[in-house]
Amino acid sequence: LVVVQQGLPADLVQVADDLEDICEYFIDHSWSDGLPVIPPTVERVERMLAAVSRNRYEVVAKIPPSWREATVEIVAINSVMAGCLPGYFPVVVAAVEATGVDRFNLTAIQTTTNPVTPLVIVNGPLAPDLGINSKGNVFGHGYRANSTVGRALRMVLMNVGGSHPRTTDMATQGQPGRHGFCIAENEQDSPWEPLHVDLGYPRDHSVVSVVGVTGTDNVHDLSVEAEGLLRTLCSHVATAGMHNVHVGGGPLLVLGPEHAALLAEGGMSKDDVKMHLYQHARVPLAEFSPENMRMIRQRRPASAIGDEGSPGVTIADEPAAISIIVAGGAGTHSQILPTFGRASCLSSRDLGPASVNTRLA
Amino acid sequence: VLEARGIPTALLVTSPFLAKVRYEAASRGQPSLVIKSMPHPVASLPLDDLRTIVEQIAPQLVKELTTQSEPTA
Repeated sequence: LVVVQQGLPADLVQVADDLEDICEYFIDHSWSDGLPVIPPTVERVERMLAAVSRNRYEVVAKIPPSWREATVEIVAINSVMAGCLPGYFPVVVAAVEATGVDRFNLTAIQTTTNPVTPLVIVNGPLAPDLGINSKGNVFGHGYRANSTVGRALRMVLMNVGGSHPRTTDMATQGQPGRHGFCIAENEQDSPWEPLHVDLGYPRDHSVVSVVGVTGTDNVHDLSVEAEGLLRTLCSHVATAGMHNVHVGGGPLLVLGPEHAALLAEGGMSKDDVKMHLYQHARVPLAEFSPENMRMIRQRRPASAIGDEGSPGVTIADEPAAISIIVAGGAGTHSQILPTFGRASCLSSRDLGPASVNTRLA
Repeated sequence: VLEARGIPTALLVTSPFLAKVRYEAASRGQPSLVIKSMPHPVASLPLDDLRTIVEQIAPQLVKELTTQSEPTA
């Protein structure tokens, strides 16, 4: 069996025609996240490349800390290894491209002690066409598109960027999302306009966004009035170790559809929710040790901290720094995803109005 | 970035980060950058303690920076 190795252009390497030997070969070369890979044969890589109309040697992004070039072809190789179907490939390319923009600060994300990892959020018609889960167990297992798109991005960050645990990737603990973190927004069950419309894209376009998140934190709330849920959200997010409290930027709030409906029925827009969290979710100054308070004063604007008698440190530098999407199924749960601060803002790529079927035609 | 602009530069990092910083320097085209390590951790050290450690290491950094061979024209 012939497999394709990462080079520029890619090299062909002859390996034993045995699946277990091939997996060992990739793991021995540190070209795996620890799980077995699909062997990237010429045929499989070509099928992946056929899903986009881009030159195979075009550079999608330069990935730190190696600063090697992730070409379309190399992204295709890693997508095969991750188990992607060819239809997913435009989403993977867009995600790699979105992480490569300067303001995303991938250098820090790739090498920090923080557990941060890029979460891929897909909006628009492509998401249901590809079967990207936006409903029940949206952050969990069971959906090939979610699992393999996120894994393909991780493979590129690791294999091209040279970000390897305990040598160049200095994450103290990391997080499960580092195996692959991709969801779609549940636009169907959302009372509001979806994220890509918030970001200024046409509603009928498919948009791939990435945001650096430090983890997921579940918020359970049984309130029947918006006010009760808001109180719980404020209490839950405003904690003394939460990353945005320390470094600024703002968190991503992933509301379950029932919680989103409760807030909308209470007459709240997304901007109203953001403003409420900005104003009322505060960590009292007395909760910080002197060391943490010193860091917060260095990193946060004075407006986020306030003077003596302040109600506390805000969870975001401004209301607009908080992002809100709707995802998940039935139930009274939402998730707070703190971000890596200003360095991990949402970065997006527009895939246009075409569905996957027309794209592959 | 500084070294590439002709400003002699030395990096001081805590020991767990030495391999990472050497890798990054090499990937940025600066494999011979002066990099020294110091004990970990420093994030919560009082400034005076940090100053004491740095003052102990600084002469060695200056020596390495000033005795490196100059690039030939």
